[in-house]
Amino acid sequence: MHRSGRSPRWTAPAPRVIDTTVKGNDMGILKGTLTFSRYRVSGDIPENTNDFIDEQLKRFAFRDITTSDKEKSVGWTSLDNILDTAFEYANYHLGEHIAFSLRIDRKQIPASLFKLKVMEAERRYKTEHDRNKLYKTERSDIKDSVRSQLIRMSPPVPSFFDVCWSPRNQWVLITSHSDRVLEDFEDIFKRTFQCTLIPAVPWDPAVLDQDTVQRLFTLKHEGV
Amino acid sequence: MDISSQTFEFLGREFLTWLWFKSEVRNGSVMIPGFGDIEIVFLRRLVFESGEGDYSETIVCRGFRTDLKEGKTALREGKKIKEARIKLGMGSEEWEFTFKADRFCFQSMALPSHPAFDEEEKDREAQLIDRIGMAETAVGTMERLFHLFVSERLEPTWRSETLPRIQMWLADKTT
Repeated sequence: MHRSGRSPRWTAPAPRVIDTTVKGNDMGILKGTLTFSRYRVSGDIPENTNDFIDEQLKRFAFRDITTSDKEKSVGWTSLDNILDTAFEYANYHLGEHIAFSLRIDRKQIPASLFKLKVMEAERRYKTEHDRNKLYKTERSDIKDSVRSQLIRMSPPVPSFFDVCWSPRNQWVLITSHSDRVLEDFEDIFKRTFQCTLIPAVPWDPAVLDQDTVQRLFTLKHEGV
Repeated sequence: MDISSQTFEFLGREFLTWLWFKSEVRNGSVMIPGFGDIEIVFLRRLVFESGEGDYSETIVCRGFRTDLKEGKTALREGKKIKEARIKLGMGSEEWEFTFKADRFCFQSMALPSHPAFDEEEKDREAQLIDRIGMAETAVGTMERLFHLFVSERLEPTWRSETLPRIQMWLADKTT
């Protein structure tokens, strides 16, 4: 059960105020035109759907990496407010849909800066150890150390993508067409909800009747 | 026999070609049996591809109404249509979107204008549910059109009747 002892779906909701200016992103589902990829959700979620979704969204909520040496962080945030990862009052319920956002933060080190810092660190190491050459393992350790330092110092660049899921109809959409984003989305959705996402196309053999599948297979190599 | 979605990916581009043909031969109207007339108009932008993999070449045709001769010429030359800007109309409501055939996905979808959406007081949550519903309506309609295409594609008359009509349309002759 939910910590409050009640199903999260029916917890008295706070008045919903959706601030579309927070993300500064017109590509979401909140306003403007819609760009999205759709999936069929394969797999069963537990019977206590509301509790499961609530617990898992919080478990896989976005974690900040500003001061860490991680290069990437992927997690869920509230649709209404990107700073909200607590999902108070089960604010992800939108009618019969579940709506939230995917936040992906990446830290990137410019290649030229990395090369320069590695050269400096190697020179310093040689001076400190009174050496002219470095072993392969030493060079590798220096590189790892420099990468780690630079990553810790680099500010993460965040991006947001809205997600809308219909558990009843077993589809989900995300407001992106980017392969890199979709890969991260498929991965974290599977880890969060233990369901596999299959791109929703009407020629998916799993959604066509077997007779149609067989007949389509025979004409595969004919063209219009 | 290993059949996956990739097996039938070719249907996306065939569908888009057929949809362009269907919309033009009835002046922008496509009849879905049991559902009614749907307005389908190809607008402004068509994207074609020829070749495969590293040797593929993309051609973009732009215009106010893409009954562009260049587009049909591209098809006649064997190029495949992979993307189109489409206006979809049902009753008094209109959608406009870029349809990407290979993945059956939608880009920059403009939803039907809704007077109540301009009122700040209207429940924003209800608006959001409406927006999702309208997007799903457009997707569902395109899926209905796809299934209509598949049923025609599997008819014995495809080769004897439909294909010659498509070829006449491509040649800009009366169908």
